Amino acid sequence: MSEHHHHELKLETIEVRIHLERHGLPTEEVVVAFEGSINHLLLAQNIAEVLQLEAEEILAEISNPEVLHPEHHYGNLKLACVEVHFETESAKHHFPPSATWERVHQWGCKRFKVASDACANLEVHSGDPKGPVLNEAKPIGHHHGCAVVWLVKPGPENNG
Amino acid sequence: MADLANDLASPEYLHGVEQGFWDLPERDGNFVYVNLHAPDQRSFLARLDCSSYWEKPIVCLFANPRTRQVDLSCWPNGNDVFLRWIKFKPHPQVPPFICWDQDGGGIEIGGHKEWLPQKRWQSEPNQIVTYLNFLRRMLHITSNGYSRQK
Repeated sequence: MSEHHHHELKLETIEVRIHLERHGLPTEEVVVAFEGSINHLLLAQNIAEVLQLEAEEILAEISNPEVLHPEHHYGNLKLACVEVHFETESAKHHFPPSATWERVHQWGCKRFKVASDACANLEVHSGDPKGPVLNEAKPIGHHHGCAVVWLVKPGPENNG
Repeated sequence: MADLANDLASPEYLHGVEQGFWDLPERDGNFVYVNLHAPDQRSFLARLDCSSYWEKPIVCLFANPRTRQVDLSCWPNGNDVFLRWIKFKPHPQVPPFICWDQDGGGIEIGGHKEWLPQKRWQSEPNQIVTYLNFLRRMLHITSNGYSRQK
């Protein structure tokens, strides 16, 4: 094979840059280089590693053309900050805005080491332990600053 | 002084609508019909008898959305834990009722006369939203035993 042919077969290197915006943290950039075409799963895995999330949920975000346009090689992912409280503990984490409150519930149980049967009986309250209950099927969405939620076990109900 | 119309227009009621737990109410005299949404995408029409609102407990039964009549086929089902509260298949001679200390059926049909002087239905300022939140917990909290349709 001539040197000329060898040159023609070389795949184009595509560098994809994703800006990560997280409340309270400096903007971070994830850069991943691909040969020939973009592997979205691999890109999602790289971003998920930085954000300590699952690749599947990042894949859903970067499939949104407003986050990463298919014809562009750069995008902007704005995460939702959530401060989760359980009893005397609390922790902040950043989630994709399209993730549901159920994701926050599960994350909180894992973070605070709540047993799975006890976890299933908790509700997500907004603001404080007596605040309004959030529907866990609904997306987190975007918030100003960091949304505060509490994982709360409702009191017993009398019955016969 | 508690007022049913005010409570149905309250921010707490509207929060439940905005979150998709229940719909806006429909009133027919003392009866309030509220469509409740379960986590498995099913809906149940609660018929809440609010006669002597605040002075007496609400009496809730589930109704057929077409006819608005109480219909046992339109009640949410569940395991033994769930059926301790939502009693729609008790003894053939016993009508369906909700056995909760804030429901008139629990006191009258369930025979819990001891609940009457406790007036638990006055424990929170918004009686109907407190009732709807109880039903929400019945449907949404796993340990309460509602049978989710797969």
